[in-house]
Amino acid sequence: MTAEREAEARRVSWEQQLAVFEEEQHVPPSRRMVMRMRHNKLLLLGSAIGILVLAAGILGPWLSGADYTAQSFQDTHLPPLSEGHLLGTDGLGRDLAIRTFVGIRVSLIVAAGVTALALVAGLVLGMMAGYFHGWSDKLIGGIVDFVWGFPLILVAVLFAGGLGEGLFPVILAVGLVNTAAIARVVRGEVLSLSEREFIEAAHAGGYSNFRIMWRHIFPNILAPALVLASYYVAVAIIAEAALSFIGLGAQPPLPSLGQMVADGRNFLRQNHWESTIPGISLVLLVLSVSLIGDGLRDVFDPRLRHEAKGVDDK
Amino acid sequence: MKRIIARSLYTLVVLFVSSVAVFYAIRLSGGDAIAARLPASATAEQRSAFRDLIGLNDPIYEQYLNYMGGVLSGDLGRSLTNNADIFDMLLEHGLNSFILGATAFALVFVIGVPLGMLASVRRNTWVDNSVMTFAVGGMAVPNFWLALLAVWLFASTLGWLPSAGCCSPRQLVLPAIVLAMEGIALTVRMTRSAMLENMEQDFVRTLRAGGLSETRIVGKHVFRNALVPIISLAGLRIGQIIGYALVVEVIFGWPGLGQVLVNAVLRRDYPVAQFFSLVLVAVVVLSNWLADVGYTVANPRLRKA
Amino acid sequence: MMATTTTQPILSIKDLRTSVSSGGQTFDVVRGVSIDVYPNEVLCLVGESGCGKTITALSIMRLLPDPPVRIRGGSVEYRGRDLIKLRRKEIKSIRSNQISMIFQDPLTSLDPVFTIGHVMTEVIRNHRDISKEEAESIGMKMLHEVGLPAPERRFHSYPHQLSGGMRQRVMIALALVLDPDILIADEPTTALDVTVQAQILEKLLEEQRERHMSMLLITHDLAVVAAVADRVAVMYAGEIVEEAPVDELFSAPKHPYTQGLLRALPQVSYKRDKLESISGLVPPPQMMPPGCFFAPRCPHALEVCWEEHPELTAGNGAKFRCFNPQPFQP
Repeated sequence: MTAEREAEARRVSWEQQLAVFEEEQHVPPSRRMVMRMRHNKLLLLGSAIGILVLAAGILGPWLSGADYTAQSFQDTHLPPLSEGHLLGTDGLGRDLAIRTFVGIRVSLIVAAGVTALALVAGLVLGMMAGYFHGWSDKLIGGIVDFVWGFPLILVAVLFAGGLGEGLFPVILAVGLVNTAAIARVVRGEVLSLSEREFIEAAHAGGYSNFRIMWRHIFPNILAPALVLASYYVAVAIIAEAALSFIGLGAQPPLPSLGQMVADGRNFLRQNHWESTIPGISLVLLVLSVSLIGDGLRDVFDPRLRHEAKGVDDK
Repeated sequence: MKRIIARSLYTLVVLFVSSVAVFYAIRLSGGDAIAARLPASATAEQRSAFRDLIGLNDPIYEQYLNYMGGVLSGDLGRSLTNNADIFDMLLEHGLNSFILGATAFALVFVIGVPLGMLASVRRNTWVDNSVMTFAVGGMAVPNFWLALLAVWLFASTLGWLPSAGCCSPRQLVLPAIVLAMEGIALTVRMTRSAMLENMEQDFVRTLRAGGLSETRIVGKHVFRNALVPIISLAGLRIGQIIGYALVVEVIFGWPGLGQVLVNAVLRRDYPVAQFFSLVLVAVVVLSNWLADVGYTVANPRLRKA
Repeated sequence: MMATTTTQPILSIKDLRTSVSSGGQTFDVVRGVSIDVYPNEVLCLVGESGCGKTITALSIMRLLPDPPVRIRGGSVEYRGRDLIKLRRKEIKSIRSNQISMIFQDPLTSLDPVFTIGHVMTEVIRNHRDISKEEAESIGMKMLHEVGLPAPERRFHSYPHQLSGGMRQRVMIALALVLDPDILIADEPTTALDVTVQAQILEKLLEEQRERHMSMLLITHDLAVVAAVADRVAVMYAGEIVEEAPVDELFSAPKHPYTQGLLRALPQVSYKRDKLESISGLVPPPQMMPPGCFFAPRCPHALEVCWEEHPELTAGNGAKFRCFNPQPFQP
């Protein structure tokens, strides 16, 4: 009798130990994600560079207070660390530091700012199309399928052809193409999600469409949409720079990193910094965005380490 | 097959719609510039008469039809800048662009796919890490900057290659590589991930149980499966190359369609801008269509036998 | 066919140990497994998911995905050689040629971008120096033998064009075309419809008898065991806990786990008040009980069961691993 009771006691204490072990193993998914974020080197590196560049772009012009249009005929082509001009001056005597900062700002606004808007628009359109099917899907899907594959630079040039030079056609092009690209991916994800059982269950439970979309679908598509958006920000930065390099896009006196590289092109031999400084700023900008995007992707789905971005299958 | 026909019809519709859109957009702003070529002293009636003469007062759809009729019969008008015949321009510059684009396109796959495969079979070694760093870098560096660097290094400093101009093979090298760079980077990443993903599939285990060598399994079976997404997206590379060609042609002074279009936009040469916009848009639409066809062909599961 | 005690086993696994690494930690999943397979018999390896039976089977031909899973010790003797120690070239010549394996999910187990005929020809010509036409005709004959309808047409089909049952027949054909001594079948019918299951099992038995082959069949389904097995080995938490001829296992099981499995079978012949199940769950590999692994779930556990780990004891043709076996009450 007692032998059985002892055995029973053993069993009970074992079950308790097991329960404690299970408790320790269980980490809530949100906390796990935060842990991954902290350890992810890509994300950290990208964010570090990004913050630097962001600071330069936002605070730089405000702090230095100089005028980026101020020309000076005697102070032309000064090398960096000259008096009064931390990064030197260009061919017209304009301070390179302030122009670089403003140029970063322009790139950020055109690429990141517009893409942020495109993200919102793309999410809304994509969710509507994917969730409601029917005519809204045909309409949105049709337009999106057409626009998304167009190279950004070509679209911007086309708009410039119709609207003249300046930033506006570029902004329009970035907004249009990026919205379409994001909407397309979101639509695809929503379509596959809405066929999953948990959505059927929600319908059966009587939840309203809006609630289902907001609480069940939206959190699941936010991650891939963010990753995609970060990729398109990088594309937009390069496109805007390339366009201003060849003369479209931001017009003088507004500085743009691409334009600055073009201006300094003829002086590569003696005063290379006029091109290299904006060039390096561009590379840092794009690199930080790419690294953050890659890092985010690793965090959201570690299985996809080192893999191609979601720019594929229909 | 049904799918291909459906997409082809859709593509035709798209071609039509985009041609209308491009036409409308450029006519809208271009019309007045044409009229602006009159002396400033011209009166309003004279301007109106002039516009009547060149058909700018007709309803838009009539203008469109007239224009399209002209296009189809080979009459494309003349450049406002140098009065060259646009059709001749198309032939000459089109060929140049095609050479550059085709070379870049070939480079993307000839360099990208093997590198991606190499990285995937040597996963997590220094080979993999350097290839991936190259790929990330290749996408982060703006290609016009890369072009400048390349010119500075290979032309000015080392003197190995010319820095601009057309059309010898030596002059093709730099622009083609710069143009292909982003496509290469993307293809490397895609190939690597497709290979890795397929290496973990169940069918690989079956083949191993059959006694086949790893080389054969990876080099033939995994590779062929990995090709499916790569081939299906090859058409999109064309669109991407066209986009960057606009910039690369300008930088290297390669007289192709891109350079023509950009200059036309900058100089407000509307007939040229209009026509070449249409051409490039048509090429992009067709390449997207090719991407669709490619996807269906590459994946046996989509071919209804 | 029943094996007599005087014949030698054709395959002999001795004290096999395999570990899995994940998240920086390494656990043993196969803990000292020893089984013998005799010529011309069907041996079933039974156990629930996670007990290590699939990994044991994969270890035989060294098909384990090596970074996470590694063989840590033991030996697998076949025809006088230890398969674990063979060089890669040698083990490749054995695969499908002398020992074959078929897997659970025919849907994903075939290369989707090649026709099944192409793969069959490739495997045949990998081991035999014959022409393509010869290999093709051998392959087609094999497809016919496994009962695939319209074999000539199917030879040039892609896997996605065939149904699940047909695909599994293709897998069997692939495995048997080179006439191996041993076939390892890892849950060959689990992914199939019930009616197709019976057909496939029958086909497997037929092939085994006609070719005088040995078959090691892995399953978690006792009904399959009852239908095809000559001998049965029961696995729990990486160990063999009982091994016996099939009739004896079903009529007089010794180990409490086996008894629990049998009791849990829904009986169609008479009505019972409730479904019996074994209480508790398999312990996670990081937290194995100090003594007998089954102690937390065992209705007859004694003090000694929590302190010492039982070894396999042999008794007239059967083995079991228990300090306190009780007679079976269904």
